[in-house]
Amino acid sequence: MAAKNMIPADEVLTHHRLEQTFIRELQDEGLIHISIVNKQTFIPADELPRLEKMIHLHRDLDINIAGLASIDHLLQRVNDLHSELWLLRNRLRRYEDE
Amino acid sequence: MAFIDYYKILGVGKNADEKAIKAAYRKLARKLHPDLNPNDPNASKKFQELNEANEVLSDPEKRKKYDQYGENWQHADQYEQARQQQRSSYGNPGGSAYQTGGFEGFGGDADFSEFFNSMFGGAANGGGGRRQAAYRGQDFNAELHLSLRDIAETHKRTLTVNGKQIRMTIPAGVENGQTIKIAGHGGPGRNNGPAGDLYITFVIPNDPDFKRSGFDLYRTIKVDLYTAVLGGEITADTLNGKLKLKLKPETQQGTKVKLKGKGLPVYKKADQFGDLYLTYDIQVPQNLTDKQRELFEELAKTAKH
Repeated sequence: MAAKNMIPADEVLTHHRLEQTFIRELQDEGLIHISIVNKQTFIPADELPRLEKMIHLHRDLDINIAGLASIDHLLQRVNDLHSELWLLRNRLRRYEDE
Repeated sequence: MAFIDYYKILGVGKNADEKAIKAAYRKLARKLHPDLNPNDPNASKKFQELNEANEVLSDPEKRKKYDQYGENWQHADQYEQARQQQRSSYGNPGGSAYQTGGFEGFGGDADFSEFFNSMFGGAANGGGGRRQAAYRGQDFNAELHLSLRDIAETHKRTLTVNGKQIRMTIPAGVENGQTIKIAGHGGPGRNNGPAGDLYITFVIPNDPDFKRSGFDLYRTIKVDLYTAVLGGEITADTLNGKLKLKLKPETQQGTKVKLKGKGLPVYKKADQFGDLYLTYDIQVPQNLTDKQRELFEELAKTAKH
């Protein structure tokens, strides 16, 4: 059952032509979560979009693991600020047209 | 189909060397990458254009052809015919799809503009050593415009996104600007990969009667002077219908009352509701009759003593 939502890391690595160390380093930085079942590494299916985002940034922009961690952190902050902006914008609407 | 100036996209001159093109691409890729611009709906398109420009200008053979035929792209069909003849003589059918950026939003021939496909034959002319495509399909973004009354209760709605009908539940209490994800309703995946997701952003314009703050609603209602002074019963509109309220005698202008639980439903908490705040706006009568004026004067005299 558990394997149903897990993708073997080897498959992803082969597909994207990446080294095992890439996923391990991402995990060490806390950027993705992996599962190890019977000594085999799996990536939870819901982690895949996040992993692919890291792969794209690494590939397209030559960003190393430390850079990915910084970007992830900053993007999170951008998202938080964006949410806050919307919240404040919606509160302000109460005073519009008065 | 319009001519695309790849030099302009990369911001380089026609004489730019390989190094300058690479530098320009790197610089713009860092600026335009869709994963770095999550709130920009045009980011994918801009990055696609950039990749396309780089794909052509960084490849000497493609660049040569582009420089030769680019502005006269109408002749590209003839060129393509000649190219295909040449290719078949090598016995190489091509067919290995490729993707320049690896961004999940690009798929199939849609990776490139019609102009590119016309010039270079799209995916069939990928060349060797290309990167693999991504697993997931493209994420779609859509806006859904709702009124305040639409979100007073959870309901189902059928949307048409990219020609596909999607029946979705609109949860009561959604916020203006809030985005929800509908998994698997984006573009189809590649190589048996999962489909992308559909992101729907709710747009809820201001209501003429109610102001919203979180799940609380605010409304100003008019009260005639006589009821405000003597007290009585008034009828107030709520989102769910009319409500009779008792007004105390000598109610002052700007008095606020809270109607508990008469606001919006709390998002994803079906049994919880915000409150409705009413502000009384007392109306001074106009166009008084002689009799009324007389009575007010009489009243005014009593107030002075």
